[in-house]
Amino acid sequence: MPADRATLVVVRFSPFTAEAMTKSVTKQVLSDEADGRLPRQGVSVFGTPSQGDESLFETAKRLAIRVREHAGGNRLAITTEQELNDEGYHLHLIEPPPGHYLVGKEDLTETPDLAGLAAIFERDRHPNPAEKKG
Amino acid sequence: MSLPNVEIDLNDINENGQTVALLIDADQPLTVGKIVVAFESEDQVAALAMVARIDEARGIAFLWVDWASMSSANYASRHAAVPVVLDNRSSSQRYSRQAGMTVERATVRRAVVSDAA
Repeated sequence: MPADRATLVVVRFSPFTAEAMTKSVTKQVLSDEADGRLPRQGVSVFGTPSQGDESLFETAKRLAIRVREHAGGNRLAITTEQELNDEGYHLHLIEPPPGHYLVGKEDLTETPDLAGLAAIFERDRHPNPAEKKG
Repeated sequence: MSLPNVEIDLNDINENGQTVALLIDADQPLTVGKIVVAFESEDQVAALAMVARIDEARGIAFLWVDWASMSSANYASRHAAVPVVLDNRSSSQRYSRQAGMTVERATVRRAVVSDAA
């Protein structure tokens, strides 16, 4: 499926379950507190705008290759900022590293619906195209 | 004796390039500078990591993860004395650069062997 022009394509690597993402939100909050920041209740993902006639998968592949120095795994889930917005989630750009976002509510002060987020990450999951072979 | 195994989220990285783990998700006590195996059970992958910092009060550790060594083979051998099948893509000159700190992977390799001895 071709991506719409200027679509912000979002990928997440494992884990994808609501239970595991609950732990991830906890770690985000604890590490923010440890660093003297206001706690941000969000789930880490990576995103980048599509280019030209790229399909969602092609954009996701380019993104996965770009981030593999600091994130990755055997599988990835693909979604878009629009899909997340349509279901009540917001993307918050948290760089560095480039293209790193937290998905959560509008201001990251409450835990988002992680079961709903897990359902989104179930819809379009693939072997990681950036993963080395062999 | 195997290296400590610590579960991580494969997406989690902070502004310093570190990945946060819960101390309760480690199967052995962690100390700063310790080489560990960072694994993710849903995807069944694992990689070498070094403990950069510990916040005992909050129950978390900050890890430098060697993402180039992340693989299924390392997950399968994560409880072995020397669990890591090192990444053949990389030359000995490959570096993992994180937040201004450069970690030479050969240093990590030597540390793994030393820990296992």
